[in-house]
Amino acid sequence: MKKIVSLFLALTIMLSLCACQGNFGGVNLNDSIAIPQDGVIKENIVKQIQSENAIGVFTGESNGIRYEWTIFGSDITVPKGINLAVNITETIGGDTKVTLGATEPFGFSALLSVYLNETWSAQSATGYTEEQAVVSASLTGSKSTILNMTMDGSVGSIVVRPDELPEEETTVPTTESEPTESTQPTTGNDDYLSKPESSDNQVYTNGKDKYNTDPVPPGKPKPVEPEDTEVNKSKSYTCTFSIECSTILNNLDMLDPDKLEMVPSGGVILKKTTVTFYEGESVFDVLQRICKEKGIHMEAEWTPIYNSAYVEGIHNLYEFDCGALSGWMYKVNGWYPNYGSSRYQLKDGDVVEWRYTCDLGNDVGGGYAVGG
Amino acid sequence: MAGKYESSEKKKRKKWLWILAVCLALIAAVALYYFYFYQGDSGTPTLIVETPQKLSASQSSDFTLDVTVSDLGDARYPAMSMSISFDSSRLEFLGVEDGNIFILSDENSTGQQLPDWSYNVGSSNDTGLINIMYLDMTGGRNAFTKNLLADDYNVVLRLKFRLRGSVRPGDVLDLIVEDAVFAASDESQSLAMTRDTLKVKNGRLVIGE
Repeated sequence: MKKIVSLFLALTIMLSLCACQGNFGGVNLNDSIAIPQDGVIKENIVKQIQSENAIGVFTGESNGIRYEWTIFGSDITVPKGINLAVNITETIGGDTKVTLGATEPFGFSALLSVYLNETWSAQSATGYTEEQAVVSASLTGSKSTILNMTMDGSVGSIVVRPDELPEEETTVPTTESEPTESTQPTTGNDDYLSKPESSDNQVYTNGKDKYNTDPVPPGKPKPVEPEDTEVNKSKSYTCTFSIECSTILNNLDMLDPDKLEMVPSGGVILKKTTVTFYEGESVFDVLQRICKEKGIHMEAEWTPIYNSAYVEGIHNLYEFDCGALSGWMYKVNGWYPNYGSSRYQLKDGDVVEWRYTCDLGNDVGGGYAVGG
Repeated sequence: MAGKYESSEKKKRKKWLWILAVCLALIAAVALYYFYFYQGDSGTPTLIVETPQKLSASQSSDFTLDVTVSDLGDARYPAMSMSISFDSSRLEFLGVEDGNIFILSDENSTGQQLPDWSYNVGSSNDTGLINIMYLDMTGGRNAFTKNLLADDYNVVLRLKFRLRGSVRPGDVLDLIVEDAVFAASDESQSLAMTRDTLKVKNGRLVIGE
Protein backbone atom coordinates (compact mmCIF):
# COMPACT_ATOMS: atom_id res chain seq x y z
CA MET A 1 0.00 0.00 0.00
CA LYS A 2 2.75 2.36 1.07
CA LYS A 3 4.63 1.72 -2.17
CA ILE A 4 1.61 2.34 -4.36
CA VAL A 5 0.81 5.57 -2.59
CA SER A 6 4.42 6.72 -2.77
CA LEU A 7 4.47 6.02 -6.50
CA PHE A 8 1.24 7.89 -6.93
CA LEU A 9 2.52 10.81 -4.93
CA ALA A 10 5.70 11.00 -7.00
CA LEU A 11 3.65 10.89 -10.20
CA THR A 12 1.37 13.63 -8.98
CA ILE A 13 4.24 15.86 -7.99
CA MET A 14 5.85 15.31 -11.40
CA LEU A 15 2.63 16.09 -13.22
CA SER A 16 2.06 19.20 -11.16
CA LEU A 17 5.59 20.39 -11.76
CA CYS A 18 5.24 19.74 -15.48
CA ALA A 19 1.96 21.65 -15.60
CA CYS A 20 3.43 24.53 -13.61
CA GLN A 21 6.36 24.66 -15.97
CA GLY A 22 3.88 24.53 -18.82
CA ASN A 23 5.43 21.50 -20.45
CA PHE A 24 2.13 19.64 -20.33
CA GLY A 25 2.09 19.08 -24.07
CA GLY A 26 2.25 22.84 -24.75
CA VAL A 27 -0.74 24.66 -26.19
CA ASN A 28 -2.47 24.15 -29.48
CA LEU A 29 -1.48 27.25 -31.39
CA ASN A 30 -3.80 26.41 -34.29
CA ASP A 31 -6.75 27.44 -32.15
CA SER A 32 -7.40 30.78 -30.54
CA ILE A 33 -6.41 30.75 -26.90
CA ALA A 34 -8.69 32.34 -24.34
CA ILE A 35 -6.87 34.89 -22.22
CA PRO A 36 -7.05 33.81 -18.57
CA GLN A 37 -8.84 36.03 -16.08
CA ASP A 38 -5.63 37.54 -14.75
CA GLY A 39 -4.50 38.17 -18.34
CA VAL A 40 -1.14 36.51 -17.81
CA ILE A 41 0.30 34.34 -20.56
CA LYS A 42 3.17 32.35 -19.17
CA GLU A 43 6.67 32.53 -20.51
CA ASN A 44 6.62 28.94 -21.75
CA ILE A 45 3.76 29.72 -24.15
CA VAL A 46 5.58 32.77 -25.51
CA LYS A 47 8.64 30.55 -25.84
CA GLN A 48 6.57 27.96 -27.72
CA ILE A 49 5.34 30.60 -30.18
CA GLN A 50 8.91 31.70 -30.74
CA SER A 51 10.40 28.23 -31.10
CA GLU A 52 7.68 27.03 -33.49
CA ASN A 53 7.79 30.35 -35.36
CA ALA A 54 4.04 30.17 -34.96
CA ILE A 55 1.32 32.78 -34.80
CA GLY A 56 -0.41 32.93 -31.44
CA VAL A 57 -3.92 34.34 -31.28
CA PHE A 58 -5.27 35.19 -27.82
CA THR A 59 -8.86 36.29 -27.37
CA GLY A 60 -10.60 38.18 -24.62
CA GLU A 61 -13.62 40.35 -23.98
CA SER A 62 -14.07 43.56 -22.06
CA ASN A 63 -17.37 45.36 -21.48
CA GLY A 64 -19.00 43.46 -24.34
CA ILE A 65 -16.16 44.34 -26.75
CA ARG A 66 -14.16 41.46 -28.15
CA TYR A 67 -10.42 41.81 -28.59
CA GLU A 68 -7.65 39.66 -29.99
CA TRP A 69 -3.90 39.69 -29.69
CA THR A 70 -1.89 38.30 -32.59
CA ILE A 71 1.72 37.48 -31.79
CA PHE A 72 4.16 36.40 -34.48
CA GLY A 73 6.94 34.08 -33.38
CA SER A 74 9.32 35.95 -35.66
CA ASP A 75 8.76 39.16 -33.64
CA ILE A 76 9.72 37.64 -30.30
CA THR A 77 13.30 38.34 -29.36
CA VAL A 78 13.37 37.61 -25.64
CA PRO A 79 10.45 35.44 -24.54
CA LYS A 80 8.87 36.31 -21.23
CA GLY A 81 5.51 36.11 -19.54
CA ILE A 82 3.14 38.86 -20.64
CA ASN A 83 -0.12 40.33 -19.44
CA LEU A 84 -2.64 40.52 -22.29
CA ALA A 85 -5.61 41.76 -20.27
CA VAL A 86 -7.26 44.82 -21.79
CA ASN A 87 -10.04 47.01 -20.47
CA ILE A 88 -11.99 48.68 -23.26
CA THR A 89 -14.56 51.44 -22.83
CA GLU A 90 -16.35 53.52 -25.43
CA THR A 91 -16.46 57.16 -24.42
CA ILE A 92 -19.31 59.59 -25.07
CA GLY A 93 -17.38 61.47 -27.74
CA GLY A 94 -17.12 58.32 -29.82
CA ASP A 95 -13.53 57.57 -28.88
CA THR A 96 -12.45 54.22 -27.51
CA LYS A 97 -10.33 53.98 -24.38
CA VAL A 98 -8.02 50.99 -24.27
CA THR A 99 -6.31 50.29 -20.96
CA LEU A 100 -3.62 47.64 -21.08
CA GLY A 101 -3.17 45.30 -18.17
CA ALA A 102 0.57 45.15 -18.82
CA THR A 103 2.63 47.35 -16.54
CA GLU A 104 5.79 47.03 -18.59
CA PRO A 105 6.39 46.71 -22.36
CA PHE A 106 6.36 43.20 -23.81
CA GLY A 107 9.77 43.69 -25.40
CA PHE A 108 8.40 42.73 -28.82
CA SER A 109 5.56 43.97 -30.99
CA ALA A 110 2.13 42.41 -30.73
CA LEU A 111 -0.98 43.22 -32.72
CA LEU A 112 -4.10 44.18 -30.79
CA SER A 113 -7.40 43.96 -32.69
CA VAL A 114 -10.47 45.47 -31.07
CA TYR A 115 -13.87 44.49 -32.50
CA LEU A 116 -15.97 47.61 -31.97
CA ASN A 117 -19.73 47.33 -31.75
CA GLU A 118 -20.12 50.22 -34.19
CA THR A 119 -18.83 51.31 -37.57
CA TRP A 120 -16.39 54.18 -37.91
CA SER A 121 -16.51 55.96 -41.24
CA ALA A 122 -12.82 56.94 -41.02
CA GLN A 123 -10.11 55.08 -42.90
CA SER A 124 -7.63 55.10 -40.03
CA ALA A 125 -7.37 56.02 -36.38
CA THR A 126 -4.74 57.13 -33.91
CA GLY A 127 -4.14 56.16 -30.30
CA TYR A 128 -3.19 59.00 -27.95
CA THR A 129 -1.69 59.13 -24.48
CA GLU A 130 -2.28 62.57 -23.02
CA GLU A 131 -2.89 64.05 -26.50
CA GLN A 132 0.37 62.63 -27.82
CA ALA A 133 -0.04 60.17 -30.69
CA VAL A 134 1.53 56.88 -29.68
CA VAL A 135 0.07 54.33 -32.03
CA SER A 136 -1.69 54.35 -35.38
CA ALA A 137 -4.57 52.02 -36.03
CA SER A 138 -5.79 50.64 -39.32
CA LEU A 139 -9.49 50.00 -39.64
CA THR A 140 -11.18 47.11 -41.37
CA GLY A 141 -14.54 45.37 -41.25
CA SER A 142 -17.69 46.15 -43.17
CA LYS A 143 -20.47 45.47 -40.66
CA SER A 144 -18.56 46.84 -37.68
CA THR A 145 -15.12 48.34 -37.34
CA ILE A 146 -12.04 46.42 -36.25
CA LEU A 147 -9.23 48.54 -34.80
CA ASN A 148 -5.83 47.02 -35.47
CA MET A 149 -2.95 48.45 -33.48
CA THR A 150 0.62 47.23 -33.32
CA MET A 151 1.73 47.66 -29.73
CA ASP A 152 5.46 48.13 -29.58
CA GLY A 153 6.02 49.54 -26.15
CA SER A 154 2.85 51.16 -24.95
CA VAL A 155 1.52 50.61 -21.46
CA GLY A 156 -1.29 52.25 -19.53
CA SER A 157 -4.30 53.88 -21.20
CA ILE A 158 -4.63 54.88 -24.83
CA VAL A 159 -7.53 56.83 -26.27
CA VAL A 160 -8.18 55.79 -29.86
CA ARG A 161 -9.82 58.38 -32.06
CA PRO A 162 -10.82 58.09 -35.75
CA ASP A 163 -8.66 60.23 -38.05
CA GLU A 164 -10.41 62.87 -40.08
CA LEU A 165 -10.59 62.19 -43.78
CA PRO A 166 -8.15 64.25 -45.86
CA GLU A 167 -9.70 67.43 -47.24
CA GLU A 168 -9.40 66.21 -50.82
CA GLU A 169 -11.35 63.06 -50.12
CA THR A 170 -14.14 64.70 -48.19
CA THR A 171 -14.90 66.97 -51.12
CA VAL A 172 -14.98 64.26 -53.76
CA PRO A 173 -18.53 64.32 -55.06
CA THR A 174 -20.03 60.93 -55.69
CA THR A 175 -23.32 62.13 -57.04
CA GLU A 176 -24.32 64.59 -59.69
CA SER A 177 -22.88 67.62 -57.97
CA GLU A 178 -21.24 70.34 -59.98
CA PRO A 179 -17.47 70.28 -60.33
CA THR A 180 -15.69 72.27 -57.67
CA GLU A 181 -13.19 73.76 -60.05
CA SER A 182 -13.84 76.90 -62.06
CA THR A 183 -14.56 76.56 -65.73
CA GLN A 184 -12.02 76.46 -68.51
CA PRO A 185 -9.02 78.67 -67.76
CA THR A 186 -8.37 81.43 -70.25
CA THR A 187 -4.70 82.06 -69.66
CA GLY A 188 -1.80 79.79 -70.07
CA ASN A 189 -0.01 80.84 -66.89
CA ASP A 190 -0.33 77.66 -64.92
CA ASP A 191 1.69 74.68 -63.91
CA TYR A 192 1.03 72.82 -67.07
CA LEU A 193 2.33 75.55 -69.35
CA SER A 194 5.35 76.50 -67.33
CA LYS A 195 6.49 72.96 -66.56
CA PRO A 196 5.58 70.58 -69.32
CA GLU A 197 6.06 66.99 -68.16
CA SER A 198 7.79 65.70 -71.25
CA SER A 199 9.03 66.92 -74.57
CA ASP A 200 5.97 65.36 -76.18
CA ASN A 201 3.74 67.76 -74.31
CA GLN A 202 5.03 70.72 -76.27
CA VAL A 203 3.27 73.95 -75.53
CA TYR A 204 2.00 75.88 -78.46
CA THR A 205 1.71 79.62 -78.56
CA ASN A 206 -2.08 79.55 -78.44
CA GLY A 207 -1.85 77.91 -74.97
CA LYS A 208 -2.79 74.47 -76.23
CA ASP A 209 -0.59 71.42 -76.34
CA LYS A 210 0.16 69.48 -79.51
CA TYR A 211 -3.07 67.55 -79.13
CA ASN A 212 -5.21 70.68 -78.99
CA THR A 213 -5.72 70.45 -75.25
CA ASP A 214 -6.33 73.65 -73.34
CA PRO A 215 -4.28 74.16 -70.18
CA VAL A 216 -5.36 71.83 -67.40
CA PRO A 217 -6.70 73.67 -64.34
CA PRO A 218 -4.27 73.74 -61.41
CA GLY A 219 -4.54 70.72 -59.16
CA LYS A 220 -6.11 68.54 -61.83
CA PRO A 221 -4.30 65.56 -63.37
CA LYS A 222 -2.44 66.31 -66.55
CA PRO A 223 -2.92 64.13 -69.60
CA VAL A 224 -0.62 61.15 -69.99
CA GLU A 225 0.03 60.04 -73.54
CA PRO A 226 -0.98 56.40 -74.14
CA GLU A 227 2.20 55.68 -76.08
CA ASP A 228 4.30 56.74 -73.07
CA THR A 229 2.47 54.47 -70.71
CA GLU A 230 3.18 50.92 -69.74
CA VAL A 231 0.54 48.92 -67.95
CA ASN A 232 1.95 47.15 -64.89
CA LYS A 233 -0.28 44.16 -64.25
CA SER A 234 1.41 43.33 -60.98
CA LYS A 235 -0.04 46.46 -59.36
CA SER A 236 -3.80 46.60 -59.23
CA TYR A 237 -6.10 49.23 -57.75
CA THR A 238 -9.79 49.95 -57.65
CA CYS A 239 -11.99 52.78 -58.87
CA THR A 240 -15.71 53.13 -59.42
CA PHE A 241 -17.44 53.41 -62.78
CA SER A 242 -21.00 54.40 -63.65
CA ILE A 243 -22.73 55.08 -66.95
CA GLU A 244 -25.98 56.96 -67.24
CA CYS A 245 -28.10 58.87 -69.70
CA SER A 246 -30.81 60.42 -67.55
CA THR A 247 -30.55 63.73 -69.43
CA ILE A 248 -32.30 62.01 -72.34
CA LEU A 249 -35.37 61.54 -70.14
CA ASN A 250 -35.71 65.34 -70.01
CA ASN A 251 -35.27 65.66 -73.75
CA LEU A 252 -37.32 62.81 -75.14
CA ASP A 253 -38.78 65.12 -77.76
CA MET A 254 -35.32 65.41 -79.34
CA LEU A 255 -34.53 61.70 -79.19
CA ASP A 256 -34.41 59.62 -82.32
CA PRO A 257 -37.62 57.55 -81.94
CA ASP A 258 -35.76 54.39 -82.98
CA LYS A 259 -33.53 54.77 -79.90
CA LEU A 260 -36.30 55.10 -77.35
CA GLU A 261 -36.14 51.42 -76.41
CA MET A 262 -32.42 51.81 -75.63
CA VAL A 263 -33.03 54.28 -72.82
CA PRO A 264 -33.31 52.52 -69.44
CA SER A 265 -36.30 53.61 -67.36
CA GLY A 266 -34.17 55.37 -64.75
CA GLY A 267 -31.48 56.39 -67.21
CA VAL A 268 -28.86 54.20 -65.51
CA ILE A 269 -26.94 51.91 -67.85
CA LEU A 270 -24.34 50.84 -65.28
CA LYS A 271 -24.85 51.64 -61.63
CA LYS A 272 -21.85 52.71 -59.56
CA THR A 273 -19.58 49.68 -59.69
CA THR A 274 -16.16 49.07 -58.16
CA VAL A 275 -13.74 47.87 -60.80
CA THR A 276 -10.15 46.71 -60.69
CA PHE A 277 -7.56 48.36 -62.88
CA TYR A 278 -3.83 48.05 -63.30
CA GLU A 279 -1.19 50.68 -62.86
CA GLY A 280 -0.95 52.75 -66.03
CA GLU A 281 -4.43 52.08 -67.39
CA SER A 282 -6.58 54.91 -68.69
CA VAL A 283 -10.26 55.67 -68.25
CA PHE A 284 -10.85 54.41 -71.77
CA ASP A 285 -9.00 51.12 -71.15
CA VAL A 286 -11.22 50.37 -68.19
CA LEU A 287 -14.41 51.54 -69.93
CA GLN A 288 -13.65 49.17 -72.77
CA ARG A 289 -13.04 46.28 -70.37
CA ILE A 290 -16.04 46.83 -68.14
CA CYS A 291 -18.39 47.20 -71.12
CA LYS A 292 -17.09 43.91 -72.48
CA GLU A 293 -17.45 42.20 -69.11
CA LYS A 294 -20.94 43.51 -68.49
CA GLY A 295 -22.11 42.98 -72.08
CA ILE A 296 -22.76 46.66 -72.66
CA HIS A 297 -22.42 47.83 -76.25
CA MET A 298 -19.72 50.49 -76.78
CA GLU A 299 -18.23 51.97 -79.92
CA ALA A 300 -15.26 54.28 -80.12
CA GLU A 301 -12.94 55.64 -82.75
CA TRP A 302 -9.30 56.59 -82.43
CA THR A 303 -8.82 60.31 -83.04
CA PRO A 304 -5.14 61.06 -83.82
CA ILE A 305 -5.60 64.80 -83.52
CA TYR A 306 -6.57 64.38 -79.85
CA ASN A 307 -4.34 61.31 -79.37
CA SER A 308 -7.28 59.57 -77.76
CA ALA A 309 -10.21 57.34 -78.46
CA TYR A 310 -13.47 59.17 -78.92
CA VAL A 311 -16.48 57.35 -77.49
CA GLU A 312 -19.21 57.53 -80.09
CA GLY A 313 -21.87 55.35 -78.53
CA ILE A 314 -22.65 53.37 -75.41
CA HIS A 315 -25.64 51.04 -75.05
CA ASN A 316 -26.48 51.88 -78.68
CA LEU A 317 -27.01 55.52 -77.77
CA TYR A 318 -24.77 57.54 -80.06
CA GLU A 319 -23.73 61.16 -80.37
CA PHE A 320 -26.44 63.25 -82.06
CA ASP A 321 -29.13 60.71 -81.14
CA CYS A 322 -30.72 63.30 -78.87
CA GLY A 323 -30.10 66.52 -80.73
CA ALA A 324 -27.16 68.13 -82.49
CA LEU A 325 -25.38 68.88 -79.20
CA SER A 326 -25.64 65.39 -77.73
CA GLY A 327 -22.93 62.84 -76.99
CA TRP A 328 -20.94 61.12 -74.23
CA MET A 329 -18.73 62.86 -71.66
CA TYR A 330 -16.77 61.56 -68.71
CA LYS A 331 -16.22 62.96 -65.27
CA VAL A 332 -13.53 61.89 -62.78
CA ASN A 333 -13.85 62.86 -59.12
CA GLY A 334 -16.40 65.51 -60.07
CA TRP A 335 -14.32 67.10 -62.84
CA TYR A 336 -14.90 66.82 -66.60
CA PRO A 337 -11.38 66.52 -68.06
CA ASN A 338 -10.70 68.70 -71.09
CA TYR A 339 -8.87 65.88 -72.87
CA GLY A 340 -9.75 62.42 -74.15
CA SER A 341 -10.33 59.42 -71.92
CA SER A 342 -7.32 57.53 -73.37
CA ARG A 343 -5.09 60.24 -71.88
CA TYR A 344 -6.59 60.16 -68.39
CA GLN A 345 -4.53 57.80 -66.27
CA LEU A 346 -6.52 56.35 -63.39
CA LYS A 347 -5.50 56.55 -59.74
CA ASP A 348 -6.59 54.40 -56.83
CA GLY A 349 -10.07 55.32 -55.62
CA ASP A 350 -11.03 57.47 -58.64
CA VAL A 351 -14.76 57.94 -59.21
CA VAL A 352 -15.49 57.81 -62.93
CA GLU A 353 -18.90 58.76 -64.32
CA TRP A 354 -19.84 58.52 -68.00
CA ARG A 355 -22.79 60.77 -68.76
CA TYR A 356 -24.82 61.49 -71.84
CA THR A 357 -25.25 65.17 -72.57
CA CYS A 358 -27.96 66.71 -74.78
CA ASP A 359 -26.45 70.19 -74.59
CA LEU A 360 -22.67 70.01 -75.07
CA GLY A 361 -22.15 69.31 -71.39
CA ASN A 362 -24.18 72.24 -70.06
CA ASP A 363 -26.92 69.95 -68.79
CA VAL A 364 -24.47 67.75 -66.85
CA GLY A 365 -22.26 70.46 -65.38
CA GLY A 366 -19.44 70.04 -67.87
CA GLY A 367 -20.01 72.75 -70.42
CA TYR A 368 -16.35 73.71 -70.40
CA ALA A 369 -14.93 70.28 -71.19
CA VAL A 370 -14.38 68.43 -74.41
CA GLY A 371 -13.34 64.96 -73.28
CA GLY A 372 -15.49 62.06 -74.27
CA MET B 1 -2.37 -3.83 23.53
CA ALA B 2 -3.65 -5.51 20.36
CA GLY B 3 -6.50 -3.00 20.24
CA LYS B 4 -4.02 -0.12 20.48
CA TYR B 5 -1.96 -1.58 17.62
CA GLU B 6 -5.09 -1.97 15.50
CA SER B 7 -6.07 1.61 16.17
CA SER B 8 -2.62 2.90 15.14
CA GLU B 9 -2.79 0.84 11.93
CA LYS B 10 -6.21 2.29 11.18
CA LYS B 11 -4.91 5.81 11.72
CA LYS B 12 -1.99 5.15 9.39
CA ARG B 13 -4.28 3.74 6.71
CA LYS B 14 -6.57 6.73 7.10
CA LYS B 15 -3.60 9.07 6.72
CA TRP B 16 -2.47 7.36 3.50
CA LEU B 17 -5.99 7.42 2.15
CA TRP B 18 -6.11 11.15 2.79
CA ILE B 19 -2.83 11.61 0.95
CA LEU B 20 -4.20 9.53 -1.94
CA ALA B 21 -7.36 11.61 -2.05
CA VAL B 22 -5.36 14.84 -2.06
CA CYS B 23 -3.19 13.47 -4.89
CA LEU B 24 -6.24 12.56 -6.93
CA ALA B 25 -7.75 15.99 -6.33
CA LEU B 26 -4.48 17.59 -7.42
CA ILE B 27 -4.38 15.55 -10.63
CA ALA B 28 -8.00 16.42 -11.34
CA ALA B 29 -7.28 20.11 -10.74
CA VAL B 30 -4.26 20.05 -13.06
CA ALA B 31 -6.26 18.24 -15.76
CA LEU B 32 -9.16 20.66 -15.46
CA TYR B 33 -6.83 23.65 -15.56
CA TYR B 34 -5.16 22.28 -18.66
CA PHE B 35 -8.36 21.49 -20.54
CA TYR B 36 -10.31 24.60 -19.61
CA PHE B 37 -7.64 27.23 -20.06
CA TYR B 38 -5.47 25.85 -22.80
CA GLN B 39 -7.58 23.63 -24.99
CA GLY B 40 -10.24 26.16 -26.05
CA ASP B 41 -13.25 24.78 -27.84
CA SER B 42 -11.73 21.52 -28.97
CA GLY B 43 -14.38 19.18 -30.23
CA THR B 44 -16.64 21.87 -31.70
CA PRO B 45 -16.25 21.99 -35.48
CA THR B 46 -14.41 25.18 -36.32
CA LEU B 47 -13.89 26.85 -39.68
CA ILE B 48 -10.65 28.80 -39.70
CA VAL B 49 -9.25 31.32 -42.16
CA GLU B 50 -5.59 30.78 -41.40
CA THR B 51 -3.46 33.81 -40.61
CA PRO B 52 -0.22 33.59 -42.59
CA GLN B 53 3.19 34.97 -41.67
CA LYS B 54 3.65 38.70 -42.36
CA LEU B 55 3.64 39.73 -46.02
CA SER B 56 5.82 42.38 -47.57
CA ALA B 57 4.04 45.43 -48.94
CA SER B 58 6.09 45.08 -52.11
CA GLN B 59 5.07 41.47 -52.70
CA SER B 60 3.63 41.36 -56.18
CA SER B 61 3.16 37.63 -56.55
CA ASP B 62 -0.10 35.84 -55.80
CA PHE B 63 -0.53 34.03 -52.52
CA THR B 64 -3.10 31.71 -50.97
CA LEU B 65 -4.77 31.58 -47.59
CA ASP B 66 -5.94 28.24 -46.25
CA VAL B 67 -9.46 27.82 -44.99
CA THR B 68 -9.43 24.83 -42.67
CA VAL B 69 -11.94 22.93 -40.62
CA SER B 70 -10.97 21.34 -37.32
CA ASP B 71 -13.64 18.67 -37.07
CA LEU B 72 -17.00 17.63 -38.48
CA GLY B 73 -20.04 15.94 -36.98
CA ASP B 74 -21.17 12.42 -37.76
CA ALA B 75 -23.61 13.43 -40.51
CA ARG B 76 -23.08 13.62 -44.24
CA TYR B 77 -22.94 17.22 -45.47
CA PRO B 78 -24.06 17.51 -49.12
CA ALA B 79 -23.76 21.32 -49.16
CA MET B 80 -21.29 23.82 -47.78
CA SER B 81 -21.23 27.58 -48.07
CA MET B 82 -19.21 30.40 -46.63
CA SER B 83 -19.11 34.18 -46.96
CA ILE B 84 -15.84 35.93 -46.22
CA SER B 85 -15.47 39.69 -46.30
CA PHE B 86 -12.20 41.40 -47.19
CA ASP B 87 -10.90 44.86 -48.06
CA SER B 88 -11.19 44.84 -51.85
CA SER B 89 -9.47 48.22 -52.13
CA ARG B 90 -6.23 46.71 -50.85
CA LEU B 91 -6.63 43.06 -51.74
CA GLU B 92 -7.61 41.47 -55.04
CA PHE B 93 -9.38 38.12 -54.89
CA LEU B 94 -8.22 35.87 -57.72
CA GLY B 95 -10.10 32.64 -57.10
CA VAL B 96 -10.15 29.40 -55.17
CA GLU B 97 -7.64 26.57 -55.20
CA ASP B 98 -8.22 23.00 -54.06
CA GLY B 99 -7.72 22.01 -50.45
CA ASN B 100 -7.07 18.50 -49.16
CA ILE B 101 -10.56 17.52 -48.04
CA PHE B 102 -12.37 15.14 -50.32
CA ILE B 103 -16.04 14.42 -50.81
CA LEU B 104 -17.52 11.01 -51.39
CA SER B 105 -17.71 10.00 -55.02
CA ASP B 106 -19.20 7.17 -57.00
CA GLU B 107 -17.53 8.31 -60.18
CA ASN B 108 -14.08 6.87 -59.66
CA SER B 109 -12.41 3.88 -58.08
CA THR B 110 -11.01 5.78 -55.10
CA GLY B 111 -14.51 6.67 -53.94
CA GLN B 112 -13.53 10.25 -53.36
CA GLN B 113 -13.03 13.47 -55.27
CA LEU B 114 -12.37 17.12 -54.64
CA PRO B 115 -15.42 19.38 -54.37
CA ASP B 116 -16.24 21.74 -57.21
CA TRP B 117 -16.66 25.18 -55.66
CA SER B 118 -18.87 27.92 -57.09
CA TYR B 119 -17.85 31.56 -56.69
CA ASN B 120 -17.68 34.78 -58.69
CA VAL B 121 -14.36 36.61 -58.76
CA GLY B 122 -15.67 39.84 -60.31
CA SER B 123 -18.57 40.18 -57.95
CA SER B 124 -16.37 39.36 -54.94
CA ASN B 125 -13.98 42.17 -55.81
CA ASP B 126 -16.87 44.56 -56.47
CA THR B 127 -18.55 43.93 -53.13
CA GLY B 128 -15.64 42.89 -50.90
CA LEU B 129 -17.51 39.72 -50.02
CA ILE B 130 -16.52 36.27 -51.27
CA ASN B 131 -19.46 33.88 -51.44
CA ILE B 132 -18.36 30.31 -51.99
CA MET B 133 -20.64 27.33 -52.25
CA TYR B 134 -20.54 23.60 -52.87
CA LEU B 135 -23.78 21.82 -53.65
CA ASP B 136 -23.98 18.08 -54.14
CA MET B 137 -26.56 17.57 -56.86
CA THR B 138 -26.74 13.81 -56.31
CA GLY B 139 -28.68 14.03 -53.09
CA GLY B 140 -25.90 13.03 -50.74
CA ARG B 141 -23.71 10.64 -52.72
CA ASN B 142 -21.05 13.35 -53.13
CA ALA B 143 -21.14 14.74 -49.63
CA PHE B 144 -18.59 15.86 -47.06
CA THR B 145 -18.05 13.38 -44.27
CA LYS B 146 -15.63 13.34 -41.38
CA ASN B 147 -14.35 9.97 -42.56
CA LEU B 148 -12.59 11.73 -45.42
CA LEU B 149 -10.91 14.40 -43.32
CA ALA B 150 -7.14 14.55 -43.42
CA ASP B 151 -5.27 13.54 -40.29
CA ASP B 152 -4.47 16.89 -38.76
CA TYR B 153 -4.61 19.85 -41.13
CA ASN B 154 -7.89 19.81 -43.05
CA VAL B 155 -7.88 22.41 -45.79
CA VAL B 156 -11.37 22.97 -47.15
CA LEU B 157 -10.08 25.28 -49.86
CA ARG B 158 -7.45 27.93 -50.50
CA LEU B 159 -8.30 31.55 -51.25
CA LYS B 160 -6.02 33.10 -53.84
CA PHE B 161 -5.20 36.79 -53.50
CA ARG B 162 -2.85 39.49 -54.70
CA LEU B 163 -1.97 42.67 -52.83
CA ARG B 164 -3.04 45.85 -54.54
CA GLY B 165 -0.66 48.77 -54.98
CA SER B 166 -2.52 50.70 -52.29
CA VAL B 167 -1.22 48.42 -49.52
CA ARG B 168 1.23 50.05 -47.09
CA PRO B 169 3.56 48.59 -44.44
CA GLY B 170 1.71 48.31 -41.15
CA ASP B 171 -1.66 47.65 -42.80
CA VAL B 172 -3.71 44.88 -41.29
CA LEU B 173 -6.30 43.26 -43.51
CA ASP B 174 -8.93 41.17 -41.77
CA LEU B 175 -10.67 38.30 -43.52
CA ILE B 176 -13.90 37.94 -41.65
CA VAL B 177 -16.12 34.89 -41.89
CA GLU B 178 -19.55 36.49 -42.09
CA ASP B 179 -21.42 33.23 -42.49
CA ALA B 180 -20.62 29.55 -42.83
CA VAL B 181 -22.76 26.42 -43.04
CA PHE B 182 -22.17 22.70 -43.49
CA ALA B 183 -25.68 21.61 -44.39
CA ALA B 184 -26.83 18.07 -43.60
CA SER B 185 -29.90 16.49 -45.13
CA ASP B 186 -31.32 16.32 -41.63
CA GLU B 187 -31.34 20.01 -40.73
CA SER B 188 -30.92 19.35 -37.05
CA GLN B 189 -27.48 17.93 -37.80
CA SER B 190 -26.35 20.89 -39.91
CA LEU B 191 -23.43 22.94 -38.66
CA ALA B 192 -24.12 26.66 -38.82
CA MET B 193 -22.23 29.66 -37.55
CA THR B 194 -25.48 31.44 -36.73
CA ARG B 195 -26.57 28.59 -34.48
CA ASP B 196 -23.17 28.26 -32.81
CA THR B 197 -22.84 24.68 -33.99
CA LEU B 198 -19.95 25.81 -36.18
CA LYS B 199 -17.31 28.07 -34.68
CA VAL B 200 -15.28 30.35 -36.91
CA LYS B 201 -11.91 31.99 -36.62
CA ASN B 202 -11.14 34.98 -38.80
CA GLY B 203 -7.89 35.40 -40.71
CA ARG B 204 -5.61 38.40 -40.61
CA LEU B 205 -3.02 39.60 -43.10
CA VAL B 206 -0.34 41.72 -41.51
CA ILE B 207 1.74 43.76 -43.91
CA GLY B 208 5.35 44.18 -42.91
CA GLU B 209 8.06 46.29 -44.50
